Amino acid sequence: MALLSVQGVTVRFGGLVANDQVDLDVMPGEITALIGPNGAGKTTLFNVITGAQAPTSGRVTFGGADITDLDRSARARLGMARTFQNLSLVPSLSVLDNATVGLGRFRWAGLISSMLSLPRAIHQDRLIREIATGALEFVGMGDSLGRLTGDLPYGDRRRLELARALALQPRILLLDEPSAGMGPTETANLATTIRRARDELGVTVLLVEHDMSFVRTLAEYCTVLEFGRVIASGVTAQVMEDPRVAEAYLGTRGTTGA
Amino acid sequence: MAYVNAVLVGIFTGGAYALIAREWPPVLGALVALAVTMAYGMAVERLAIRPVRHGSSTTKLIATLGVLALTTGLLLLVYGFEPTSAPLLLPDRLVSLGSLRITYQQVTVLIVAGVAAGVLGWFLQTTRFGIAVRAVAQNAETSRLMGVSLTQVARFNWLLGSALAGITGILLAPLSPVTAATFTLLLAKALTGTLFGGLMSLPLAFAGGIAVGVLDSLTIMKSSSPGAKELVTLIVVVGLLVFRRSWAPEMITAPAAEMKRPNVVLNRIRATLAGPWSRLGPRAPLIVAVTILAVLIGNQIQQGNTSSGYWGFVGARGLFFVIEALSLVILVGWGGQASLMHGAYVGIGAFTTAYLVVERGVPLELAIVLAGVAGMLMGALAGLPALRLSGLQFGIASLAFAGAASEWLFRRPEFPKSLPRGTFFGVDLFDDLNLFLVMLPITIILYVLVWNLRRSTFGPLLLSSRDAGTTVAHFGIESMSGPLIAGIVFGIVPQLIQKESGPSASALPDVIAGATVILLIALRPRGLASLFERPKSRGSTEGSDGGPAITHRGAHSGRFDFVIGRREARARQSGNVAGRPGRLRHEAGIDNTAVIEVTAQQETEDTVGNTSIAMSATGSATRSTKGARR
Repeated sequence: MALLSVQGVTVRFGGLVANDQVDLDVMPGEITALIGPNGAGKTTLFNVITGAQAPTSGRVTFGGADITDLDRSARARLGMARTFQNLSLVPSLSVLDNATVGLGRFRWAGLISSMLSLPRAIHQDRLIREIATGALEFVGMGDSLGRLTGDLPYGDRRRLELARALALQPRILLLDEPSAGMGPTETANLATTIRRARDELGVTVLLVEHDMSFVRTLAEYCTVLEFGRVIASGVTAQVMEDPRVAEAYLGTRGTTGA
Repeated sequence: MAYVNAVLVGIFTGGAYALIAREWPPVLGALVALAVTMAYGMAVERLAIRPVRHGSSTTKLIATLGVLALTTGLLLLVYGFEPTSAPLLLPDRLVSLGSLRITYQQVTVLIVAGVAAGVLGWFLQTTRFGIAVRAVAQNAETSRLMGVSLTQVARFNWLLGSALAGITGILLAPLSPVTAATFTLLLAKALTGTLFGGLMSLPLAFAGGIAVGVLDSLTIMKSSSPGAKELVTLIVVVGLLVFRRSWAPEMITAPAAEMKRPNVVLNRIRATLAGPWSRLGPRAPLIVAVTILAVLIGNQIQQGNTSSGYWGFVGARGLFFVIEALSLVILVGWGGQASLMHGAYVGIGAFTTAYLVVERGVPLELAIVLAGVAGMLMGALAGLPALRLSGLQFGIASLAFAGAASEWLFRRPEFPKSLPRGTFFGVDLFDDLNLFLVMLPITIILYVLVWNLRRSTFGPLLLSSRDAGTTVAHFGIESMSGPLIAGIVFGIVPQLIQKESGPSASALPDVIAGATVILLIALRPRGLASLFERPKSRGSTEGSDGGPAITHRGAHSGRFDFVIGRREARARQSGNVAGRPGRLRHEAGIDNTAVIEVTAQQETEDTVGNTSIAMSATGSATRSTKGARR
């Protein structure tokens, strides 16, 4: 049974149909990719899943529960973590501080106890920092905890985002174009980290991606969107062979000009 | 551009006032006023606007409003509260156009407006520099790469803007009486107008402006009660903010532009300004404050109690603003909410205490507690709807609230205008030194509270919600209103003490000026938040904010080790891990029926997950396509 299931989701912006009856299942423990040419509606679907965009019709279920009407923070507390395509880190905070933001759902000490530095608040903060440190070590940033985020190179910021999401200890990790703006070496490292997150932490992964070779090496399953519709879905290798996919990406013979 | 406009209104009034004050021939006075206005505009650009030009829109807004408040303060200081009107620049004659009769002055206004618009349009459309100005407005970074000097353009914009505002002020001042005190309210109304258009649409803003004007005039006709029209403005603002659902996204979330381009320029400016301070580290402000306090206290001891009253008074005032600054740090510096109603909060507490003591005969100690409770309730009442907003919206709402409070609420006859200082638990507060000594421990306690908040993991949460907008929601955090309300509550605290240092009603302009100073501090390098910054040792593994740091690295007990096995994860899910706080599970699994379902199902799913991972590990190519639908 699917961990995350998108059923018949349609999103309309005025007359524009961004998603048209889209179905998508993400099986637990798998890495699934959502691909498609520019403007295919990938980001819209991603937003529907994360709760940033309400669908015109259709349902989203997570672990069997209907989450279509839940807001973003409720989804996070169910164990959905995400990264952002254009990073959303605070440059003036340290790497560790940024990672602790991912642990918001585990807080139990309130404002007052934090202000008074009650033992419960100190205990909580220690645990939160420990987990965040663990997440940073997992992505290989264990030695830059105290660095200022604004000083980090781009690839490290991406890794920090990933660590922040992993610190949430998610059941599903949603990655919005994780390899955007990265070089080949960084991309390969990233693929390894994502696979390790799945293998060692048991996190299910859904990623929206442009880079076809990245998807081919990383994702077991793949769903292709074009003009808001699903045109192919299944095991990545088979999907890549599908003539409709090649057509969506490259065009068909004869239409490219005389 | 709202922030530029806000300042221009200030300069406009400045121009008008400069004209009024001079007892010179009107034309000479006008020229001097114009020169003063332009110089002021240039100074503002250099000192307040340029340092924050790379900041978020909230930072810019705060900077602008700080300048605005400072301008009000200056004008009040120089010209006082009384409405004045300026002499006419031109002979008092009438022009007849059919049945319409208008004065020379009015004709001049029309002509100048027309000519200015025409010249400006020609300049911006055709000249090289004009095109550069427009390019910078569209995309400053790209223009800079093309060789346009941003500084030059900014300087030009300000010179031109303040000149135009000055001319407007000079021409309009003779037509209607002007007071410095009411011009914040004027701004509140102008901004209310633009709110109709969601701060974006020009036609809607135009319509909104007219609507606000008409409402204003109607209220004056229907009600003679003072401040009624400010109350109406507040109601309109709140109504708009509550009922108008769709805002342009950039109005709701401050753009996290800093991430994209590192602020090389800003950092250099900071470095230059930091200068001698840099060796002391970012704690410099704290060190300075402590030194001043120490000197003050030493002075007290040397001079003996009686002659030190003056210094006690100065110290008490200082502490008052320290507490006020603390609350602004939370609300503005960390929360990113541009609150303009802190003066109003101070007033609420002060007037409530005065009312309780003078009208009801409540002892001062009890009155302070009661006023504190009342102030918090009213603060929460006014603040809660506003906390759902952010940035500019919050600024406008708080401005409207401040206007209604000072023009309507605080002028109610129920509130006495002054409060004699009494005794506080046997301590005679009439002695300024005693007042200072009572305030000092309170201030220190509050400082520690705020310091703890920043040091805890709340700090990063607050800053993330400020800088990265909706990000925190994606990590399961409902809202940061708790700390922000704390900021407001802190704002109420100082009045409990402040009201004792003099008659409260007349202290209000003082408070405005004080808040101004604080807002201006917020503009300086690292801003208000720098009070709580620690030097960051880069590249080290030390915790960034002085917590227990990361001393247990590599020594993860397994109890909270991040890399957890599946079985352990499951055990955690059901709360079976020894020594783990029970609440953690409760928080993690929130009291939400959907969650309970999910938890129940996870067992089976995890098993499925395990199988598929095992399969992928063997590299089986024949796996079923169970995961995807066709």
